[in-house]
Amino acid sequence: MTHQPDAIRVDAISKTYSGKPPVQALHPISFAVGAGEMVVVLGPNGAGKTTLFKILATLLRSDSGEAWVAGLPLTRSREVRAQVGVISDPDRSFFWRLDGRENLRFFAASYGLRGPAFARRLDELVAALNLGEFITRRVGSLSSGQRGRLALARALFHHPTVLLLDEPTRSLDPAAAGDFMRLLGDYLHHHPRASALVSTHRLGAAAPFVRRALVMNHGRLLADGPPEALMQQAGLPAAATRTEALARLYAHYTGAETEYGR
Amino acid sequence: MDVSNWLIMLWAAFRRDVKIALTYRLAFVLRFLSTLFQVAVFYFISKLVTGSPPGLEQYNGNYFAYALVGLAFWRLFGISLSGYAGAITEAQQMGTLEAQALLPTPLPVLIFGANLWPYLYAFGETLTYLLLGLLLGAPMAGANPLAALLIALLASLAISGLGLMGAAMILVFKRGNAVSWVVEAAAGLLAGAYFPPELLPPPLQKLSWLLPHTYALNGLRGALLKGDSWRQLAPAMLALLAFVIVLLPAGVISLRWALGRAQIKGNLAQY
Repeated sequence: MTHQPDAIRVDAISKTYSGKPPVQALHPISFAVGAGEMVVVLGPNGAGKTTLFKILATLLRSDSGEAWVAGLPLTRSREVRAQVGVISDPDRSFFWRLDGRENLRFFAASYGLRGPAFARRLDELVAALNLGEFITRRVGSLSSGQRGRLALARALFHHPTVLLLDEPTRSLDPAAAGDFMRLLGDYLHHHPRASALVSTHRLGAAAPFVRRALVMNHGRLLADGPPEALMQQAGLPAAATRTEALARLYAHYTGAETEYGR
Repeated sequence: MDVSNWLIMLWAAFRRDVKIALTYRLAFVLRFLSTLFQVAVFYFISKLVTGSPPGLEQYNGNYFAYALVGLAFWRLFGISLSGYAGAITEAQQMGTLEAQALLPTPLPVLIFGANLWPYLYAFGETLTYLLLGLLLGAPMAGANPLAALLIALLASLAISGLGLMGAAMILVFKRGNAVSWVVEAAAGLLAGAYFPPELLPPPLQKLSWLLPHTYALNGLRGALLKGDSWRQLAPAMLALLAFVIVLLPAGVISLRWALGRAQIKGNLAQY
C-alpha cells in the first residue's frame, strides 16, 4: 500500500505581527487535511483564518512551526504555488480593464498553459462554471457573483491538487454564495484527489458540503471534526439542519450571536 | 531558475499592458500631443539663446538641439527610475499584487515585465521627439544611431538599479520613493538635461559626475549631434557599464530583501 501524503499538514505554526503592541494572530496550531477532503474553517473576523491561509499560500512566513502543502514544505514556495489554487480577494484581484478571458490568459501563462492548451482548459471551465455569458466582458463591469466565479476559474485553471479559498463568498448574496459552493462541490466531486480548505461566514451555503469543520477564534484552533461529533463533544442538543448545527457550533466556540442564539 | 517561464511571463505582462493601454485611447492621443508641445516650447526658448554660452560651444551654440536630446531621453530614464515602484504601487492599489505573488513566477520578474510596455512606449516617444527635432532643424545628419542605442540601453540598465532600490523603498515605506525623488531632482539640476552643467558652480559640476544620467546625456549628444565615433564614445560607455555593474545587482538585492521583509510582515499588498 502506497502512502498518500496529506494535502495539507500544519505542525504548530504561529504568527505574530510586529507593531506597537505586537499582535499574535496565530497561536501554535496543528491539523491535517487529507487528500480528497474538503474542510471548512469557521471563525469571526480576527480569528486568524486569513493569516493561516496566507501562510499556506506562501504569501506570509510563519514565526515558528512547519507546514506542508501537497506534500511540499512551504520553503519550496514556487513548487507549492504551482500545486495550489487560491482565492483571497475575488473582487480586487483582477485587471479590471481586461475581459475575463484576457485575465485568465495572463495568470494561466505562469503555469505554462498557453495556446491550444489554454483554449481547451478555458472551454472546459466556461462550461463547468457557466462563464459563457460574461467571459468576454471587462472584469470591471461584472457583478461580484460573476467575479467570484471567475476567481474560481482562475484558482482551478491549472488543475491544482489543493484549493485554499479564503472567504470566496465574502461579497456574494446568499443565492450567489450557494451557487459558488455548489460549483466548488461539483468540482471536488469530479476530482476526487483534489482537496480544499475553505473559510466562509456563509454557513447556509457551505452546510451541504461540510464533512469536517475547523473552528477558530483569537488565533486558536478551538475545534476540529465533523459537525455532528463536535456538537456531541460540546454537549449541544441535536440540530434540525446542518446549517443550524454549524451556527450553534460557531456560537458555542466564539461566543457570537447567531440566528439560532448564542 | 526557469528562464523559459520567465520569458513567457515577460511576454504575458507586455501583452496584458498593451491591451490595457489600448483601452485608454484618448490618453494615447493626448500624450502624443504633449510631445509636440514640449518640442515646440524648447524650440521657441532656443530663440532666446544667442551666441555660444558655456557648454554649448561643442554643439555650435545650438540650444534647441542640446535640449532636444535631454527632452527625448528624459522619459526613458524616468521609466527606469520610477517605473518599477510605479508598477508595484499600481498593482497594490488595483489589488493585483498579491494575486501575482501567488503565481509560480518570481514576483521581481513580473515587476520587470510590468515595465516593458512603458519602456517601449517611452522609446517610441524618444524617437518622436528626435524626429520632430530633425524636422525643426536639429543637426543629426552625421549621427551614430547604433552607439546612441547602446548608450541608451546601458543608461537604462544603470538607472534601473536605482529604480529597483526605489521599488524596494516603496515596499518598505509604502509611500515616499525617496530614491526616485532625490535622483530625479538631482539629475534634472546637475546632469545636463535642459542646460549645460558648465553653467553650474564648480562644486555642483563635480557632483554631476556621480550620476549615470550625466554620462548618458554626454554620450547621447556626442553620438546624435556630433556623430562621435565608437572610440570617442568609449569613455561614456565604460562609465555607464561601471554604473550597471554596481547599481543593478544592488537594486536586485534591495528588491529581494524588501520582498522577503514584506513576506515576514505580511504587508505586501498594503499601500
